[in-house]
Amino acid sequence: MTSKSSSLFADLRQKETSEIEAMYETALAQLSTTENQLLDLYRKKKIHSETIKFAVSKTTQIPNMKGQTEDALVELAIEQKEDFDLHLARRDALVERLLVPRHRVVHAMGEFHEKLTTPLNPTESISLATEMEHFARFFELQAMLQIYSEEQDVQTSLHRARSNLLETIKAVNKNDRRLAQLINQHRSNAKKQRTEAGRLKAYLEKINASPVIPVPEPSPEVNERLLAGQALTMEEFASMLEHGGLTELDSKKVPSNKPKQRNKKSNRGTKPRRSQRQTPSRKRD
Amino acid sequence: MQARELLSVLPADLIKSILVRRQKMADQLPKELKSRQEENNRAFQLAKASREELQAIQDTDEASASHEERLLQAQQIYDEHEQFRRRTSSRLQTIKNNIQDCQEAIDFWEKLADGGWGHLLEDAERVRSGGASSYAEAKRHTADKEGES
Repeated sequence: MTSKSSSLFADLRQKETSEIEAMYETALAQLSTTENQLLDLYRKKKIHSETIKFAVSKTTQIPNMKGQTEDALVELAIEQKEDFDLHLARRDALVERLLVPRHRVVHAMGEFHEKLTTPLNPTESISLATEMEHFARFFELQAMLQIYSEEQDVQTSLHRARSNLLETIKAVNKNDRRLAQLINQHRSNAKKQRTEAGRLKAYLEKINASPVIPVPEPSPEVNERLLAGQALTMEEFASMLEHGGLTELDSKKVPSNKPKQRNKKSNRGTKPRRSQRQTPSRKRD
Repeated sequence: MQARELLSVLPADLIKSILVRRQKMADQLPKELKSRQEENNRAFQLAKASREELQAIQDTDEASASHEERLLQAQQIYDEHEQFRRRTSSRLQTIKNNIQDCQEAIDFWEKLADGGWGHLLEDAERVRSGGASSYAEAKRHTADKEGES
């Protein structure tokens, strides 16, 4: 334990307390900066994720930026999505009004025209009512085709708006992934900085808690007295705790009169079952 | 036809095309009527002759096997000729109806050729003025009916 502590703080032993305190303050400041940056990154990432969801219509709620971001790309994506929605609504209104898509209008018009003008055999007959119906349908479809031609920009603009939005969303997504990487980096840095701050804090606590007057080493006479079962003073006991001596007593113990019990065969393997060393920061915390 | 060509078709043009087709048909119909009448007369004669023959065989009081066979044969011939007569009669009637329909249609489209087609373009006018197409209206009507039931 003593050797571990000395290796953990080895680089600090040569330094002055004031210097270590300054290092501790610096570590805390760095940690605070990193955590603030991390918070900012989380907020940006949330806005990016919400923007992507909004753009792909997974949510109808516009990302609330509260003026905290200056990300032009996010603002552009929101703007383009609103533009796309407007074009989509315009296209949907047209489709709802006419119902028949353009290619089918052309096809049906051709069919009606053929039915009305293709020469017939005398045995074939077409009633006047059917002719009138076909005539009316043909010109209704012609009016629809005319509207489709006039409103051709609806489809073109919708297509353009969709392409623009997709491109922007790709860029936002790329940024989102970059932010995720940055968050990971910052989290890793924050962990290191927290560990370092904890180490410095623990060392400072240790040196501040250390006794000013060193405890003298126990004399052999104290050991003898202890083995004889005599009482020790507090100073002698403290000296044994600080410098050792209490554990050595076990080895000099007189064997007991109890009959030796046969050792049960242990299930324990040959491998040592040492637990992993805990991180110093966690221990101290 | 391509979309551009279809867009350039005017009501007057279409009426003209319809009339041309109707006139062509009207010109062919009398000849067709004549051949159908001849066919029908022939079928009538055949049916009449086979009926009389059948009647004659039925009127004899024979009960022999050969008589029975002749009766059966005469019945079959009569059935075939009668079926043919009915078919030709139907064809003749179709031609007569076609002549009548054709004449009515020619009269109708000739009247419209002067510009009186407005009532046939009501749906087109509604669509042009921003209304729903008859296809959309039919769909809405169906949806409403389903909603009610």
